[in-house]
Amino acid sequence: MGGLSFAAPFLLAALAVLPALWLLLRQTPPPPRSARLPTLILLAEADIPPDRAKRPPWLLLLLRLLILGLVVLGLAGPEWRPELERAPPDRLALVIDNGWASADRWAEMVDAAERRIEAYETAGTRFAVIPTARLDTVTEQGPADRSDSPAAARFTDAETALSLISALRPRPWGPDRAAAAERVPPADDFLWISDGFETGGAAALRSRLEGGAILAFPAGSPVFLAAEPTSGGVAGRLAAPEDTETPALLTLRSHTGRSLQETRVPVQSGGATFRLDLGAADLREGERLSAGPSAASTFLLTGASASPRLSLVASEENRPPLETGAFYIRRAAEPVADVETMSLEEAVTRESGLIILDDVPVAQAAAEPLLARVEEGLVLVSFAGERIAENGTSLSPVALRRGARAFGGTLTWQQPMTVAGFASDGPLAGLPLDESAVIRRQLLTEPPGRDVMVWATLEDGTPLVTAERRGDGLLVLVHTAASPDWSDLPLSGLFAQIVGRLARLGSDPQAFDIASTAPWRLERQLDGHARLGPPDRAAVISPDDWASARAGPDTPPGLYRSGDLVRPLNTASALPPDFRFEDLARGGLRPAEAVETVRPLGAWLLSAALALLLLDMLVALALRGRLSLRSSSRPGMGMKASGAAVLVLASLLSFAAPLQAQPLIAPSTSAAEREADLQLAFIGGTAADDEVREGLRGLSRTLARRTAVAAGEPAAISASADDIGRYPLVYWPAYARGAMSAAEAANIRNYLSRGGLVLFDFGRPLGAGTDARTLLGALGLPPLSEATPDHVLLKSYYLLDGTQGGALWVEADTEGDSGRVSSVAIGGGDWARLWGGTATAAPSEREAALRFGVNLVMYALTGTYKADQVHTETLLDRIGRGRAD
Amino acid sequence: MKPGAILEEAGRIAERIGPLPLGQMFARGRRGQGIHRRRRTGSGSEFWQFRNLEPGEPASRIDWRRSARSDDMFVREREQEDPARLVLDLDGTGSMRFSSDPSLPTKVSRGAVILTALGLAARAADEMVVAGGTPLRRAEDLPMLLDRSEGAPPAAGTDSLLVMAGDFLDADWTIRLSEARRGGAAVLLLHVVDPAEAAFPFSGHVRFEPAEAEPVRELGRAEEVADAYHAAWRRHLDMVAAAAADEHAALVSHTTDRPADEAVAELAALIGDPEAQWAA
Repeated sequence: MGGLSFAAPFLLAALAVLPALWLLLRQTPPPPRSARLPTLILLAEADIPPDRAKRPPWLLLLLRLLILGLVVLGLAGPEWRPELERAPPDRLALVIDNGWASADRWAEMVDAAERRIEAYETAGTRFAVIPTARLDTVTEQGPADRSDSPAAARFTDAETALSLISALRPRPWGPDRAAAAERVPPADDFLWISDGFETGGAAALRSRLEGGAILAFPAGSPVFLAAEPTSGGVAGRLAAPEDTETPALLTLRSHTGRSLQETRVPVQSGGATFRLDLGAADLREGERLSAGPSAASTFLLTGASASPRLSLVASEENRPPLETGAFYIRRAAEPVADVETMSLEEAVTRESGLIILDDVPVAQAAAEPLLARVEEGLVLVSFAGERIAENGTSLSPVALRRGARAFGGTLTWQQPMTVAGFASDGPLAGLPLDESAVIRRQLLTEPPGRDVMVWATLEDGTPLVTAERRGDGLLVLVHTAASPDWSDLPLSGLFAQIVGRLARLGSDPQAFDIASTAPWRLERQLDGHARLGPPDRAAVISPDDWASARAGPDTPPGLYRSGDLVRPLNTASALPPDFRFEDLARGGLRPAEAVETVRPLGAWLLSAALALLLLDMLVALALRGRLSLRSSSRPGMGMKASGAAVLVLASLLSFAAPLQAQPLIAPSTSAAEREADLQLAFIGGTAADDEVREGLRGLSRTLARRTAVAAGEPAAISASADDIGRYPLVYWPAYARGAMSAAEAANIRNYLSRGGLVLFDFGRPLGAGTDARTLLGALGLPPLSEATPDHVLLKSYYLLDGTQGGALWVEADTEGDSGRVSSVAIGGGDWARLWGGTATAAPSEREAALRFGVNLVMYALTGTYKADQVHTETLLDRIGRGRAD
Repeated sequence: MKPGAILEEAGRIAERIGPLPLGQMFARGRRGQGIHRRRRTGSGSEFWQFRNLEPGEPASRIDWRRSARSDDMFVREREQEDPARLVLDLDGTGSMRFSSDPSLPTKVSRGAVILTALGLAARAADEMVVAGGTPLRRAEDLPMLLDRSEGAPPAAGTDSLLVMAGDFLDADWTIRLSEARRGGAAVLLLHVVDPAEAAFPFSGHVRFEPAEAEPVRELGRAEEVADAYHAAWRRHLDMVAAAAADEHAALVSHTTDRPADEAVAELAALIGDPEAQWAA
């Protein structure tokens, strides 16, 4: 079944009117050209021939009828349907995978389904559409069909099937193919539009669809299996399809979608582990890690909720930061809260729900306004210290004994103690105990009253953290100092967790069950394309089940809230921990025959009509004598008119050209194709290739992280490469390659003269044995001089004092504001190995090398643009003097 | 063209050809004395000036009316009049108000430019100029007077040089020509032609709008009548030339795509030619 058909065949009836039009056109000739000629009266009547042009020439008439016919045909919507290889079945069951793996190429899958339906449409085929991912129980099936015995899908006409398909969405959980198999109704033919990966129930579905056809659209992006925050970053595992060779691109995004950091992770044999070093700010701001467009390629991070505000009041001390408690409190609270340091007076007036006081004794009078605010819901946390030990504080929930108790001193026989446990009904419940958190001094209390809660105790039962409810708020006291001189607690991970828990109290002082009992309720839901949106159902996970919760139709992935804690449930939880991509077996299914798209011809016909209409206009002009291809009295006009007509015709035809169908399946873009334009280059073909490549990669990463320069994968080039000009900076590992041919030298000279920059790295300080002359002699370089600390190269980004590996040689007279840019930098810093981390070196040494690298790239890209940095000191001096005057 | 523009262009041309005295043609005493004002004291009929009575002058010359108003005796003097006038006549009918292309002047405005240039040049030689039946007093009025000359009798006598400009399509120009000749005037004819009238550059389906009262003509294929038209056009030219020869009038033909200077120069040469045979 194929050939020509019409979308609106009734319009063809208009063709019947064409003969009538013929008559009409005969009666109305084209209007004549109008002119005056007084001397025409000289002509005798007899000389004037009878009027013949009243009737248009029949060729013109035919042309116009043709135009009208084309317009009618075009509007009737003719379509060319290609022949099908197989006769259309009476009933076709369409099975579509819409699990997480389908999100990547969902548009193609829908397109394939729609094309199939359109191809069979005219044959009267009826379709059943069966998505494999478990149905949205609320939106698609209706609550009544919630039972586990799914009714078989019904057959519908093509139009309904198309709307069903367009309503389908990929789900952020896996397909349940076994359940789908039960819903497949008996049909004459089956088509399985699959995501191309094997799952548990695939066999059942295959046997159900025996004899049917299958189309596979395997996705390319890797998926997360697990990811955990670690100290200073995130680590986890990825799974990727077996044939993936390009490294996975992990992007850390904020909740606004801004990319905070990008990392490439090499993928090997279908899996990868990764570890991202993230700063506290990135961790706090980062909402998700994404490796691709689908839900499974997205990992929501914990820090997705807004952080509470926290006021920190520190006692004034002239001590190094590392010895003050405020430093440790700030470091511990920063990942979970916005911390602001302020005085006590300021803190009273601030809106923040939580104030932490580090060893601030507060007298009764000063405490009144604070206590009043506590009644309204403020949480006050005091850390003990020398001052409170001496003076006491009115902000303590318990009566304190004067002085502090010390363990482990020369005059005491008690050993320093560790934390024995946390009260199970307090907010610190469930924190891990830490043997390394040794406490040497603490504040002792009078016997606590009944209202006082003890949230943490030491081994001997004395309280470490006490709290008391005052109205809506809380008074909390930590009985040891936040600085490391009373205990090792601030140096342990436990301290961060305690402060973190306490900090969260600020947003809801009533919710002690931070980690425990309130059920987790779905707050933001992740859809198949990894977009967070409002939930379309009320999903609840009880706290006991949280650890074993799996993303699925009943508990969709997304952000869940319990009290003031927000936790993500990721699609990764729906994957088994040992998940690997496996290609889908075909079994008894045949590959689906290709179905070409239905080609609408209307646009072509209308374009042809338009072209003929133009031709008609030209003919009409010619008939009126306005357009003459022969010579006329004023040739310019005729030529102008015909030229313009040809132009108009050509432009219309060029408009018609884009009507051509676009290729329907676009190849999925791989990461390699998106490579950045800017690349660092090095002279390849030496033994040091791998090292150098790794080094430049490290430098590129650093550039991307710290500067606006986004350099792509480093390029290995030969010294005689023609395209050397496209690289701003070429690294020459002179320790590995100490000579160049005349042709290469000419190429490099050419490159340098056009603004290129070559870094010659001899790997060790220049001098005897480096044979620099042998290498550089061929280049015929201008006079060189040592770069002084004032050289732009050392100021272009970082202000550097010098470089590794002895003197750095640059072209003479490129210093300061001479305006000249050195085209070479020659030194022996062994930078590549430092950049790549393959050399054993102190971190500071590597950092210095990276900074030099950043400066060098900046210098290559901006030249002396940064030269005024050299004068910064003088300028600042001048400003200072101006103020003093 | 607006009168100002006509005057400007005509002034430019007149300046180039210089003063154009009519004396040459009348110096031959062809017709005796006519009225030809000289702008100096003489024996004309128009008042020129009062002057004091000189001793020995006859008392009959005293103008008593003027002398009674003062103690001195005054004599009325009259302007010297020579009997020659330049009479300009421009056909302003509908067929003259035509140009085949917007870049060309209409025939009537080109005629006006040429006649005005002649008039200005003659005036520069202190000759009397008549246009539209009215003696010219101020040079600026000339285009306006010419515009009014349609149908006005040229009133040309033996003392006149009549310059008639037109396309000579209507029938009554021959009557005016012979009237003027009967009155004894010398006549110059200026035939103003639009290039399209000479070439007939039409083809295809053309609808000819009427220039005057003739009917609308619609030609299916205009190129078919080109030959007939060219024949008719040649007949017309012959007819004009024959009429001019019959009446001993000189004929100058001017096409509007040529500069007006040519026609003015040709006319001026005819006027100033002492050997001219045309006005005999």
